[in-house]
Amino acid sequence: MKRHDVLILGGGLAGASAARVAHQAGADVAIVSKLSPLRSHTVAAAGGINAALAAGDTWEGHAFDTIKGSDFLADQDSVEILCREAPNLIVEMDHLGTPFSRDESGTLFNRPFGGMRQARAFFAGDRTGLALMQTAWEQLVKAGVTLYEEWAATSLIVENGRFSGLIAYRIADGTLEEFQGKAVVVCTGPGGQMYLKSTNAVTCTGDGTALAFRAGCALKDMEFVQFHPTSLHGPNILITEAARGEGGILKNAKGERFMEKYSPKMVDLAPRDIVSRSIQTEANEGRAFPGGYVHLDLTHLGAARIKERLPEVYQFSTEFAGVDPGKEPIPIEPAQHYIMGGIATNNAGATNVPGIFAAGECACVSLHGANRLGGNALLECIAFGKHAGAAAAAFAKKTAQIAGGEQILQQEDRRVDWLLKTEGGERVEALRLELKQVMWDNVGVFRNEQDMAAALAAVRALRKRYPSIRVGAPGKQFNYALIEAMELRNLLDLSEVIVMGALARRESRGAHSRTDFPSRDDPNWLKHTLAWWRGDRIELTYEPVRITQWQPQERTY
Amino acid sequence: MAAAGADVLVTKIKVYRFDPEVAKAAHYDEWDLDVKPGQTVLDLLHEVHYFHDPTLSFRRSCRSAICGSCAMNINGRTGLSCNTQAKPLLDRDGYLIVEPMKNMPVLKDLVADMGGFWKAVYDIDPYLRPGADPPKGPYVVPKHRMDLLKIAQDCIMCGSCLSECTSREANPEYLGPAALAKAYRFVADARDDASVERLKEYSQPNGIWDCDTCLYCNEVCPMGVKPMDAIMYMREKAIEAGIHSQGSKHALAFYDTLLETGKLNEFKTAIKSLGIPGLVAQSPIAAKVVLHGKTPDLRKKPIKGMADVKKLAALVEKKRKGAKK
Amino acid sequence: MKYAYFPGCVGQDSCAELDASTKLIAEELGIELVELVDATCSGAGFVQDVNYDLSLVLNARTFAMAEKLGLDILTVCSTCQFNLDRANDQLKSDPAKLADVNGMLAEVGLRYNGNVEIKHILWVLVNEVGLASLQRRVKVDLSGLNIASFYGCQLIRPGTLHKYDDPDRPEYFERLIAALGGKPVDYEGRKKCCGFPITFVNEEASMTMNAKNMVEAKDKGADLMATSCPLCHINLDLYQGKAEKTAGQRIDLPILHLPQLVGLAIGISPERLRLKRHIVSPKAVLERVQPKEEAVAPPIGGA
Repeated sequence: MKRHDVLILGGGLAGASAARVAHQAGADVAIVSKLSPLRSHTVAAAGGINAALAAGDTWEGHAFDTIKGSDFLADQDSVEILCREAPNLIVEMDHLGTPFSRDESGTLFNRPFGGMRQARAFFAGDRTGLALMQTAWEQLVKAGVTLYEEWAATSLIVENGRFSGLIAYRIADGTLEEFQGKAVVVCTGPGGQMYLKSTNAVTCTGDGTALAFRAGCALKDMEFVQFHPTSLHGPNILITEAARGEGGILKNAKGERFMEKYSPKMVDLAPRDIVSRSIQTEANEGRAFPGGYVHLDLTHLGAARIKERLPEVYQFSTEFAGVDPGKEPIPIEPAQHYIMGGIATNNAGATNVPGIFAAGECACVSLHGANRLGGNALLECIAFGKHAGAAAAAFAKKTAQIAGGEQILQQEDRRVDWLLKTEGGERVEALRLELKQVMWDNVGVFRNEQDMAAALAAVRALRKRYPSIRVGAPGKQFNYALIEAMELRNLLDLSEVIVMGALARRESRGAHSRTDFPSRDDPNWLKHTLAWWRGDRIELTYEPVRITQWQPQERTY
Repeated sequence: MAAAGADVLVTKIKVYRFDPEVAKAAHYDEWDLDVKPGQTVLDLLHEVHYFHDPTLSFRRSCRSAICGSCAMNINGRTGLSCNTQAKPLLDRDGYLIVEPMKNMPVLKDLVADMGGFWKAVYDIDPYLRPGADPPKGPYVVPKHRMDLLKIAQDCIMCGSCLSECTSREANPEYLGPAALAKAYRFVADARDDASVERLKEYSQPNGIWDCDTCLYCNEVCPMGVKPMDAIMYMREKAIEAGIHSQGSKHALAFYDTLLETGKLNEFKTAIKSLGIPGLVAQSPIAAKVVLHGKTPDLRKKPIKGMADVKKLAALVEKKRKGAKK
Repeated sequence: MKYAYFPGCVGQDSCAELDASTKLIAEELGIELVELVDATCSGAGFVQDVNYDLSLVLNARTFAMAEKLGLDILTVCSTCQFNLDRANDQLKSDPAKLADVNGMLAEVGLRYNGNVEIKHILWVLVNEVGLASLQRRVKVDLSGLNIASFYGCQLIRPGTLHKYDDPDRPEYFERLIAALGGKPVDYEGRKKCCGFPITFVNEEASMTMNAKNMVEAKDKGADLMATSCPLCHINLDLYQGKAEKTAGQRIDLPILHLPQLVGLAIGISPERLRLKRHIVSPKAVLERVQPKEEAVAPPIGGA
């Protein structure tokens, strides 16, 4: 049994930021992470981090762009906080060592990003996520923060209505242990692996989101799933939006710059939901290449500029698609990329369960409403990771530790034992593939009642089949088959929440696009979905959107 | 065997297996797999794990060569399994063998113990040590200074370099290319204020002077990091800062003889580098050298163009002095 | 075939047998060598450690001298090859740097325009003299000998700089050995480091890797080893005794320089090749080497 004041679940940018702040506040902090922290998916974030830092830019401009980008579902007070803090956060990360790209006069470069009227995405080459993650991790090493790496959390324990600890499984040797804590900050990031085509890492299974859900935290706006327009056709790895920021152009099979049709003002740099729908429409109407992909043309930039500004795009394109972007266009298609929804928190990162905090992609404040703009996710991780870390430390200071995880530990022990020994007929990977296919086909870029109802039935049927799985590996050491079985359960739970929310929301807004309800319906639907785990079923409630300055208006680009 | 030229190859993939729960010794398992063009080694490992043998253990996550999880020894060379195409390897070698990283203990199957790797990284103080008074806004660092970090900043800590490092293989205490590339990243960073302290530390035994310049690290890094270049930069800076070590002694001895005659004076370099006691310790070797008539010249004739060499040296020195801020 | 010959330093000093044998085989094989007597040391990485800028300028001076002769440069040392290649590559790909360097060379009446290639004699032997041509000249039967190559790291890496052999699967040396009639030994160490660069810094580590390579070659049946770098030769031959101590076993592996192996094969005497200078005597191995027999028609009517 281990005991700390504040547990941070997940070691990515949000978790590392939370840990740093909590540690500085004097709390005994420990990070519990399924992966070694530098393996977190933060590192895959490429293009940039937004802030109104440059002369002439304003936080209000950043905020409005973000809110309009969210199709007016974002909670505006939260967005204000994010955008106000952003410039100082860039400076702070620079002071901590982030190698932001600069011009010869020493001023930070920035680049335009989708949906932003002004260039305000600061970057480190096109590996901004990697650079920020390294910096955040370096600070943890400096501070000597306790790290439990390659431990997969299996339960959050709530005792007397309050967080008391978590159970985690040590991947290296199969031990299950209780980690007692007064507060936990859940920072487990993405959970998009229920989709067949996703830019997410294989490990992005929304574990923390599901754990918090099952522990009583509401999940907010889960139906809002972002499909990134430019994933590399085939492996679906991310081709950063920065490629378009640097001047890349989308073309269909006829060579047409089709975004001129869909978004006359911002063209290729329209927000992601709009571009994804545009590409999907081109495909549906027969103007894409066989397989449904289109071209991202960077040839006019020339190899030298591509290598200088977009080295990762160059690397991916040549290594994974055999395409030299200086000579040929890159084949791209939409893929699931980010989930706007997540564990509902307030601006301090607190959830409805005392002691459970959340930050980063797995949380929903809501900053991004119905659609996230590129460059705001890395920012969110730092800003709200810090808030949550500070709040968790403060909470821990005035709270006593509750004991009581013994029963849950034994339960988990039995569950793991069962998973290892059960001889069912269903292969875990087979169930997972079925889930991924049905979610992709039925709850994707374009949705309708019939498809989603079928998806809901399918997901529920898959959950019924889960007890019949067979892990097929009995070992205690690095038993990834066991981990995958546990991850599958989380994916199933989250999938059901997504489909239910999507079915219920009878409008189109942001990334949630229904062919049967194609318009945005503010009078009825300017509200957030909240999903609650009631033990045997999921219940949906709603809460209003917090509006400060900006009344919802038509969203065109 | 691979059918050459076919669009889909059927081949045996051979994978290193080690399960300490089951047996003390390792063995290899083989599976027949279809290999299509474009499939990576990770794709094949996934196929084995998901559909043939769920007990196969390997680390992986992003599958896009950025998280560093999946470094392993593939056909004798360490790299990321997620961006290593299988078909070109099969076309070249006729086989596919996947083993865990080298220079690290194996925990299970393809999962290596990276504890030693991380320890070396922690040892070099891998975080910015800024001066006392940061500016109000971001640091003003011109592009060309920030660009110095390029040869090291994209390190994803995958371990490939350490796996292939010949110096580490012979000396498990050697810090290794990843740690030293990270060390360089801070030495070269204009915002870091602790260069001299760092270089003093890194000039200790098992640091920058223990690199044998074998170039494996530069060669295998999946991110284009150049640890050897980083190490050589730090050596030069250390010497510039007047930091003494056995390594700097040897390099300076070599250099001094060059400035005398334009060529290396082996004899003098050995004396200066080892010192008389050191030379005496080498006496068995020295004796053999003399016996076989291999004694290098004590005095060497300067090359004809020695005046030119000295002129050029002066010009270089002038430029370096001018470039110092 | 005419080349500006860059002899390096060690090849004319403690390993003077390398220079001697190079000139002997060049003459035999019709490679005309114009020695760059006035060239400076390539730096061997050590000058680069102290003053990289100076090493660049001095190497540029060497290139300018060769360019003036209208010749490419031939090296016989893996370390020279890498350090010269590295400088040349930088000068060819960075016009600003080249201009800078030329500004200084102008003061000594020289200029480099980026027109020189640098080739190791191994590549010249395989690509230009040609393996078939070499094979025809072989006068000695090496078929009973297992010969292990030792490239030296800096001849095969980095793959981006040296355009000929495959750094992962180098085979130039093995093809040469086979063409000369010997049996190449397949062992991992041929691609690895001899340890010389750290012999004066961490002798134990150097001897550990040194020993490992040679022991592996011997375990795979090597009778003889040939190397393309005199610095490797120092570690492999001169320091073999120390390597044996570290390994805790005898090694007894004679080490030849590449030109000596070629010279031996094409009928130049061991004396002229100065094999006696080696610490580990190749005598026992050489005794097994006979002149190649001409094909003789079988006697008619049986014995």
